[in-house]
Amino acid sequence: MLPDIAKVNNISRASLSDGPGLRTVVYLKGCSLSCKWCHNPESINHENQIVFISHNSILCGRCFDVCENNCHIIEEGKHYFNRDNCTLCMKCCEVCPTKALEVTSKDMNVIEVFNEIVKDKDYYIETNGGITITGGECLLYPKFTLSLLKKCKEEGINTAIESALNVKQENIEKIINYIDIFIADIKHFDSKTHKKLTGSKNELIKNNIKYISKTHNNIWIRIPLIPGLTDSFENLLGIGKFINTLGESIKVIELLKYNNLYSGKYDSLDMNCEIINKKPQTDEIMQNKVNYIKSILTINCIVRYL
Amino acid sequence: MEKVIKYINENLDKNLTLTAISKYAGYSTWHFSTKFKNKMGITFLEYLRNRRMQLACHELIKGRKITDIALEFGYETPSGFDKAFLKEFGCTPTGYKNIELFYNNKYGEMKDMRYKITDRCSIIKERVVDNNVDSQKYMGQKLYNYIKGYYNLPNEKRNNYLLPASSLVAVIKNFKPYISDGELIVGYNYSDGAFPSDLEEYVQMLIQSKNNNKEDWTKYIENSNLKSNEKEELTKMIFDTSDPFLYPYNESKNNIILDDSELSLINEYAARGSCGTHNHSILSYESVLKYGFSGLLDKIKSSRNEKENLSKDELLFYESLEMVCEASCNIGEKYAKLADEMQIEYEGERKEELLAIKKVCERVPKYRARNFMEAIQSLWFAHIINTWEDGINANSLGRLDQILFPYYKKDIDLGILTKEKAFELICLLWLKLYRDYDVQQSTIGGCLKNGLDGVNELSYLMLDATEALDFVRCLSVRFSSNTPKAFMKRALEVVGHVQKGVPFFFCDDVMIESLTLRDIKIKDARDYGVIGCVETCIPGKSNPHAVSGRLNVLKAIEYALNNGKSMINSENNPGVKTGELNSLLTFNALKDAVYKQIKRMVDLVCKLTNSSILVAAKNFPLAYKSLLTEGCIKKGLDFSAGGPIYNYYQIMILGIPNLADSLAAIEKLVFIEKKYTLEELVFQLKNNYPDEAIRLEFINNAPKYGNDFPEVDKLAYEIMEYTCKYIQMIPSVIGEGFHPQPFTFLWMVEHGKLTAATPDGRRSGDILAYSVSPMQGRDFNGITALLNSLSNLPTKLAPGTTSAIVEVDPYLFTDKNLDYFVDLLMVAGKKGLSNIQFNVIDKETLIDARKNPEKHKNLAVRVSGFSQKFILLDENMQEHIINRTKHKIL
Repeated sequence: MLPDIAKVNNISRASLSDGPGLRTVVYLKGCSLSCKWCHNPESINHENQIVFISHNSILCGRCFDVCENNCHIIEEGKHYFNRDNCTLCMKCCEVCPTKALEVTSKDMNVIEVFNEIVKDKDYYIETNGGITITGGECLLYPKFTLSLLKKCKEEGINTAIESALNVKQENIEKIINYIDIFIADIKHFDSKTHKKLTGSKNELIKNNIKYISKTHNNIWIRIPLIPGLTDSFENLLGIGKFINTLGESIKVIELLKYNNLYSGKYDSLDMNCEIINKKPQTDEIMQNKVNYIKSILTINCIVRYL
Repeated sequence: MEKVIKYINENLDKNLTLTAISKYAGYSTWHFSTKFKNKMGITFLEYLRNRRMQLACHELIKGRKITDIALEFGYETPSGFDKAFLKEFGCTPTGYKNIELFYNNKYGEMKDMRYKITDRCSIIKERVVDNNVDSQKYMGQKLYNYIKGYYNLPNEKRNNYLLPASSLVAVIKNFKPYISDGELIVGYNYSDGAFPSDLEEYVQMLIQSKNNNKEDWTKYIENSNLKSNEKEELTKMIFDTSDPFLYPYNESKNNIILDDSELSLINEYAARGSCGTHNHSILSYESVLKYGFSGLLDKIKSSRNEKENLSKDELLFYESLEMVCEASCNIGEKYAKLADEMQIEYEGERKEELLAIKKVCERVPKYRARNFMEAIQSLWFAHIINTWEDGINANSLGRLDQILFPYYKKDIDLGILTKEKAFELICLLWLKLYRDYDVQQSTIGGCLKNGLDGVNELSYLMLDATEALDFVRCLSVRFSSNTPKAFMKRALEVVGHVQKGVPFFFCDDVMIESLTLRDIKIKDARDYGVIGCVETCIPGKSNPHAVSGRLNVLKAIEYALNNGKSMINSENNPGVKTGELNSLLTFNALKDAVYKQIKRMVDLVCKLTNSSILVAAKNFPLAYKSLLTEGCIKKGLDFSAGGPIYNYYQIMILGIPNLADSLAAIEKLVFIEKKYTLEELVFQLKNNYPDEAIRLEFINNAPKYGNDFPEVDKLAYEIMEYTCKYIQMIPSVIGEGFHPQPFTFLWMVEHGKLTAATPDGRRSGDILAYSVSPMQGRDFNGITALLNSLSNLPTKLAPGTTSAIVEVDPYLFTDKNLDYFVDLLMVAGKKGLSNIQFNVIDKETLIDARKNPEKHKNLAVRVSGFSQKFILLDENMQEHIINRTKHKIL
């Protein structure tokens, strides 16, 4: 039987911000939300894309030679990439020596991904770290995710997934027993606003969180604070009150500071980012928010910002 | 201060002002503010607001009116209260009240107190670091006394042993003592400014001076701080004499015969070699503390008397040691006398201090040290004399926390020393060691001779002093799986706070095994210390001959791809004729050719070193080093001539990472994928990559060392294994052979200049990788991947340490992440990491990254759940990060 395959955007080693300890983070491609502020736009689309970073181009001409649809154009000493005619044959990425053209993701099977993960096993053990599977939306690939999680558990590696939970409950049911830490994102408490910001309502997400809070006992909640969109006291109050109904299975709440560093990614994919040039919060403001949400909580859990 | 804080807390509802509270505390407002901030970590006003807000929350929750609460807590208007509340919580009291609940905030959670640098040390620091005024006082003194020492010796005694000894004695005896304001540890080892301070160089300069640089000497003598009659005398001694006082050194030329090809290897810096006896040592200062120089004098005499039929050399050897030891006995007395003269002019505290200095110097280093203060002073005197004989450069102090601990503990137990005082004395010693250059290294931590962990209170105090002074450049921490994590955490915290790459880290498990593999007894191996940069030795028992030879293995690929010919100078044939390109049909054939080239380089390095070992042994005895190195007195044999228990020669290996990357690129692109032929590659190399796309392909489309890629890490392993093993096989004419040391110092620049373009995409003349660190900017797979690559090397074959620098973003190196760094090091140590230094990247690096992105590919800016490479950011964002980083520096 062939092993399960998924599109992997990136395997990032020695991460300190995706669960406890040092972790290897596996990013899968494809998401069921499209948040206006998405920091990993290359992970939204389910299909492969070409990342084009024009300032890396040295105009060597190799891509012109292999492209059958004349997608690569040089004008006035500058390299342009016309995606309209592109058939995603990826030949230009194969010949590019400069990393100006790269494919967003790589098809990898569970064994290949696991072999990368296991390289840092000693570090996981020493730091109480492990792996975190995220996305995109890793729960859109329950089969791949499940077999990777199983493999890690067999090897004694701590497992976590990070998910926005906008998926069918049955996808969660299959894997929940193989997860040590369940990291769930909550973007906005109000369903209409949620739809406006992410393209989907949040009832399914809320129900899924209620479901996991009854079946799992180590849940971390993450709230991305996007200035003017999700960082109001009202939203925090709403989310805080919702969390209060979930009980003691919520162990950690993390508020994510906004940052502007992703706009280059949109450019390199020729995608349009509506949210740009917001000002990142100061540490002081983040601490205010942490203090605030603590004052709302009736359950006992760690609250911090990243 | 406790009293003041209690007072503040009892009067939170009153109108507390800074003036009032300072008055209560009995200080000026300025003095109080500083003291408060130092003690509490926040200002008085911040503290006051914190406390008031905390209480106000309790009142709010009880349902009291906001206006009442504001008044009660000393805010005259509700709006003032609102403002303060807003600053604290980010919302107004009304807003807060409407959100129903309150929380318990923990204010004032502060870090453990650390000792702060004392006023005395601050003043001395300014003097030492900022203008180095004290060193000016010594200009010319050493040179004058040194040359006079030659002339003091009657003609019949002018031989290789007694001439240098007599000079050293003259320096010890006649060097003018000086005690500067506030000092408690006295004595200086400043060198003579622009002139070389080590013996051999001195002599070379003197020989040359007769002919070449008379003007320089005249100018130097004029500017020196000597009396006018001394200046005249010195000029006369150098220029107006026909006295053949340099006689023995005229014969010290190396008579080795080299052929053209060997000369080419040397000229292209592929192989260099000499005997690195000078200014790299750790002597047994411990024996000076234990026995005093008077006790050591007895040892010389009894050893000599035990021996029968002494040879002429042995007689002279013992005589030179006695001369030096006798003079060393009396170095303290001069300072005791000066302190006594000075104390008359002082009253109060300084008078007491000078009297204490007098008492200490009357005793040490002549007699054994009895307490901590005497031990530090004695050790410092012992070090000064070492640097007078042999220059300062990398003469190092050894395991200071171990040497000094018995004295420290005794004094603490007796109640005659406080931790605070000990901290100040360590700071004062660190201040003595400060220089703009030179690497007088100290080692702390590590295991005891019995294998148990040796970290003690002094180890911590030495870290504290390093952080507080914020300028120490040379401190090494030894660690193993037995080292307390708290100590490692503190050491790493200092790295993060100081951000100058100190301390360095050495893994005991690897180092000790690598030394025992070279027949060093386990108890001695466990006592290893660090010299200078990262060289290792057995303190007080070895002559490690650090920096003896060096070879650049990257040149091997250049020669192998060109049938032994050089690519930077087509007339040179430095290599072995390993065959034309058409004979290198497989990757293994190419590897064999490379190893043949390496073998020849090693042969030459060892040949050069061996020939100069004999020259040094015959012509450059070092009496003081022999006195303080076990084995010499017993054998009746000088430090330079094989007297120490252990004698070995360290050979530096450059270019391992580049050679591994080069071979991996050839294997993939030429032999596996067959995208290029060797001929096509060599054309690119000889012409320094005329096709940039091909160069980038060799960089980007082949695996690079440092990323935990087995296919290339395996090659790095093989290259290092082959080179180290071969170096270890060759015998040395004196001692136990050669110790491989994959370390580049700063020479990766010079050696790079003479290396043609290489298949790893490196251009001709570009810098090589530092030691075994990956080539700059080519490790992009995270710190665990890098540590795995480093630990996978055969580090146990390199008893001279395998050095690596890891650059870390200051954003990562924060206090909250320290536990992870501790774990990272502990794990990597277990896996085989030998030495590591952290470089917390600063703003300049980022600016350079913007200009030269390909050199800094691994520089990532990490934010929660998402990280982006610096070079992928747009210009504005780069600017932003550059500016932001400034604030990140702790």
